[in-house]
Amino acid sequence: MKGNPSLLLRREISDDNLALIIDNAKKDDTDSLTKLCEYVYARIYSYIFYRVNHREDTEDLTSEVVLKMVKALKRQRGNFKAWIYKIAANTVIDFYRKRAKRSAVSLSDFPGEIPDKSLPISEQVMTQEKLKDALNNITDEQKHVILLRFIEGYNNEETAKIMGKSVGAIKVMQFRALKALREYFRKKGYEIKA
Amino acid sequence: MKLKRDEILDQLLEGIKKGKSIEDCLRAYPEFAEELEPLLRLAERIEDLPKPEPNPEAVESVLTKIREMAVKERQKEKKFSFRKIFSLQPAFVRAIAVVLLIIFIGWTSMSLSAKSVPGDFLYPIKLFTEKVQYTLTVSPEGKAELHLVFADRRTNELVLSFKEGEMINKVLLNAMLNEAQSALKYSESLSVERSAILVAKVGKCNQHQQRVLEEIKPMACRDDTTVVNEAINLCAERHRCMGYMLNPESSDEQPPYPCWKKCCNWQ
Repeated sequence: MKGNPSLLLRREISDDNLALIIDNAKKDDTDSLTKLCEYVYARIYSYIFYRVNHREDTEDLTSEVVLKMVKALKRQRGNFKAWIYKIAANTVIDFYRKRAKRSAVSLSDFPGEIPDKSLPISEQVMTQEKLKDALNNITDEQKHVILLRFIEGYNNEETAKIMGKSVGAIKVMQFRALKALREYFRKKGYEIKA
Repeated sequence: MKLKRDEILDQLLEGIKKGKSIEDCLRAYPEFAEELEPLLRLAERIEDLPKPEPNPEAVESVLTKIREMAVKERQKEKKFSFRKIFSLQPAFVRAIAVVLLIIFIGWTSMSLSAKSVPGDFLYPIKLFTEKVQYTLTVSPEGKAELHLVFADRRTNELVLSFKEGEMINKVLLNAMLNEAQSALKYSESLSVERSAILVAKVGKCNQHQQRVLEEIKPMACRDDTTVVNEAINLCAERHRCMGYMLNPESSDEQPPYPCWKKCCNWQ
């Protein structure tokens, strides 16, 4: 990570250290709480990034998730990662729910927020925007698997724990998700070649 | 065993993560190469995407909010230190709450069941409590005392549940007479003085039961007359027997002397 050196925590915290940080944060240790917030912020940011269209929304929602986490941390039990991704997923759902209500009043309040899917993907380079666009066209569970496995870099076991599924189910979902994405890209004229 | 395509894809993804090329991985499964190659390349492209970078200012703004929240929380906790104790040990507090609730429910049920009579919802709890009390009592004297207490309870229950002209509750009558008899069993394991006190108490219990039965008799239904008479006679016989046991010399009994083991059994 560039910019903020503390965000290097993103890839460097082992499970044991993370458990220790969580324990200390629950006991009001300010340093641990700060580390935990940075860790969660970095992880959740990229997860939310691919689920909403605007960078500002990503920042607002990520901040909301981190604040929710801090407020509820002492009551947290069980798998921390599964818990935090659940908060993030629910926050995104709430965001779209609220937006849908507002959109029903006036769509013109949000110019540019609805992606234009008619644009052909002509460039033969995978970009964050292309992936984001494609992710909007697969199921929510498939999207979840792609983000956790290939963006966040979790292995099958971790992904299974976070999603509350079996490893076998994750493998099936992963296969179907990649197939669905490939199909979407193929239709859009984006061929994935060596 | 034949592997499914999703499992093969996963194996190949693991191979690529370990540094193998897509071509090398696919060599093991040439029959799936055409289908799986684009999927592997797609996964590779997604993984190679630059990670979205959060704006450091946004992170700092959240951290500032969190620090402010933490300060406010601490100030609150200083004001409510009692609350802090509970928030630190929620499992402990829950355990205490459960124990207190069980004690409260148990105590309330026991208190309410004490006044119950046969047929009441709480009557089985009363009998169960008595059984527990009896089991937990170790000394013979204590057990004998309990039998007398239970005999007295059954007598009161007989009176409370009796309705003029209706049949007497035979189960209750049996229990009443048997409890008194059971108390006497323990007299042999007590010292002479304690045994005498117990015999005297059993004698009074018999007298009381006899009086109660005599009061009930005129109001009982005709079919029960024989049973009530037999019970009254038994109580009188027992009372006479207790008198002899307490004072054999001054008793005006003639041989054969009454023996509670023989004459006091209620069938």
